Amino acid sequence: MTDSASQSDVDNETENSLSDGEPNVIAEAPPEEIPDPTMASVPVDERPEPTLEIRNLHRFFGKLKAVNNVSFRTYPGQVMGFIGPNGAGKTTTMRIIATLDLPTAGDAFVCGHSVVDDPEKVRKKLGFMPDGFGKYTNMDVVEYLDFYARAYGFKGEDRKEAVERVLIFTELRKMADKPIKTLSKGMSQRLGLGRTLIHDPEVLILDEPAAGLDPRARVELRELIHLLAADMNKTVLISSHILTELGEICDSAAIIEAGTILVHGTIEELKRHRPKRAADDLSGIPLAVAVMSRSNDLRKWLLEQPFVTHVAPAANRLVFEFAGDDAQRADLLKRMIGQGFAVTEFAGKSETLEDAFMSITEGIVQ
Amino acid sequence: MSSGSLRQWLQWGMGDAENLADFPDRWNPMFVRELRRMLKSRSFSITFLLLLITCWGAAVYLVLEYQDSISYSESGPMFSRCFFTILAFPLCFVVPMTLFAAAAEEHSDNTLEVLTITTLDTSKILNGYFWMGMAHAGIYYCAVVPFACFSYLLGGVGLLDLVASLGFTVFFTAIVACWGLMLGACASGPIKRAFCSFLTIGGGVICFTILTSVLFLLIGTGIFSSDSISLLGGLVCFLVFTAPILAIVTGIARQQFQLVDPIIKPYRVQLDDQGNVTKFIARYNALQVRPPLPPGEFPMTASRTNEP
Repeated sequence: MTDSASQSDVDNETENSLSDGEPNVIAEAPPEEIPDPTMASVPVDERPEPTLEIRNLHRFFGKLKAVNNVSFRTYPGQVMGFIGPNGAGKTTTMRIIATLDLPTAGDAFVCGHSVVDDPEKVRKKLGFMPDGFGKYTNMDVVEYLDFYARAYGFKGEDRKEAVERVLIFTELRKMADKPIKTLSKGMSQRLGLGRTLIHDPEVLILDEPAAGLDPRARVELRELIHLLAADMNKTVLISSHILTELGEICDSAAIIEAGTILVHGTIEELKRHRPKRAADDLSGIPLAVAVMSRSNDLRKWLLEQPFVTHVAPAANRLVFEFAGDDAQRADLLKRMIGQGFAVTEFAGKSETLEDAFMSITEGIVQ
Repeated sequence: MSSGSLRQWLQWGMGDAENLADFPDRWNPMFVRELRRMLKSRSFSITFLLLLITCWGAAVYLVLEYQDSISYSESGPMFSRCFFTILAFPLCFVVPMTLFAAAAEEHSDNTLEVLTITTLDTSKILNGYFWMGMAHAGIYYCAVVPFACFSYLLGGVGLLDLVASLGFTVFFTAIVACWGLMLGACASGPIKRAFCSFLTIGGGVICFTILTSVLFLLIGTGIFSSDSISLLGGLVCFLVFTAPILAIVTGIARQQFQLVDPIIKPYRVQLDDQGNVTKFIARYNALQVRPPLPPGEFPMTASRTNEP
């Protein structure tokens, strides 16, 4: 695919633009590896083509690095969460993927099409649902969907079928003739999702779709997203602040802060993730232990053990903080039983995505 | 016409799913959308009714006022001027303000973003709005046509006068529609919106003054029948004057509706270990290809589309 004539043009251009004496290392170093946590166990040759691929994406606004070297891949049928505090760069990244903004450097590919070079092709493969979308006055649900079907080039019966398919999928059929201004927030989000699905895209970008929804609407939306990925084999990139929701529907997630991806992995990997501790950091993870008897003796014994701090009774068990690693924790339990304590429960607090998020991010505001 | 087809005709564009196909596929989607919204809007209904009532009122008043002499004088020009002045009001104020509001609405709540990622390009969006404005004006013309015919029957007004006045009004409507559309496209924030709405009304006042003055000169003075060369000369001058203005106005509106500049491409940047930009190397040229770049220099300009 490399054209020799244009190749030499670029070489000349680069050489001209680099300052004097600066080494040109362009052809020597290998390309940067893009993290691929959900495909870690799959041999490279057997991996499917990624439907969404972000390569070294940068977006700077003056000195502000809104997106700073973000790379990841997602595959058909996968839901990827994009987690980060406000201003972390989630929406900017999503806007670039949706061809609404251009990167300062880097590129994103949707079904193999570059968002920089082939935005029209990308738009046909991609559905984007921003965190808020306008509701036109004097417009019914069916007219709204019909308009977008026309805008995506559907004609005649195909258009009617596309509208009908979306009305049924989003369960808005009964509300087809209702003015969209009168829809509840949950129904509006359904309509927004329906709009993104009207041209049956392969990749869906959902920016805060669950924001402002009541619990029932959130569960329903979650089920719809699950259906899209599991049954319809669509790739979904979803950002949300409601981490419990993401934990349940996502296959993988990336935590982004100050424009940089801090951690990227499967949900289980993220939940297990522990930031590397400093040598003088004595804080531990909370553990709880319940014994059939001798709880006072156990308390005294625990206080004498290494890595154990903050021992306190809670309900019918003792809670304490343990700063050791997993092997040391196993050793503690072994010694506890060896001391003759009748242990009925020994559990750590179950780790959630929220815990992982809090431990990974630092609350940096750019 | 059978009762079924009559009912279908009456329901035309009223939003039933079964009637969606009634708008031809080749029509601009924006035009279809705005036409549907217009037919349902209260402001359109009120304006149309007010226009009709005003024309009726004016006709009745003028007939009563001049009932003694109406049979003996050629009173058509007076009636025509009156009706065209009434028509000029919605054309110069309601049409541009409607377009302004519709275009400005796109800037709120991400609707323009959602629109941009469809296959509609900026030209189609603007064309749809423009033709909606013209359709709006066309319906107002329909309200005035019976009164124009009435004034023609009174005598003193040539058919050519009326047709030329109507043509001139249509052209003027196109100008004010573009003006309102451009300002609506520029109204991306509340302050800009307030300022631009003020400019739209200001433009409407100027257009109204010019349009009514020209119509007063055109109707009943026999310019067209006596000197066709002056008619052609006037039209050419008018076109020469307004064409560049229209081009500029449309260009501004188009630029305002374009979220991503198609000319600007990403830079290749050189980064240090901390990800700091040490140098913007050159403008990225999508047409040229090269092998992958090493870490630290982006984007990879090799095969921008990773299709096999």
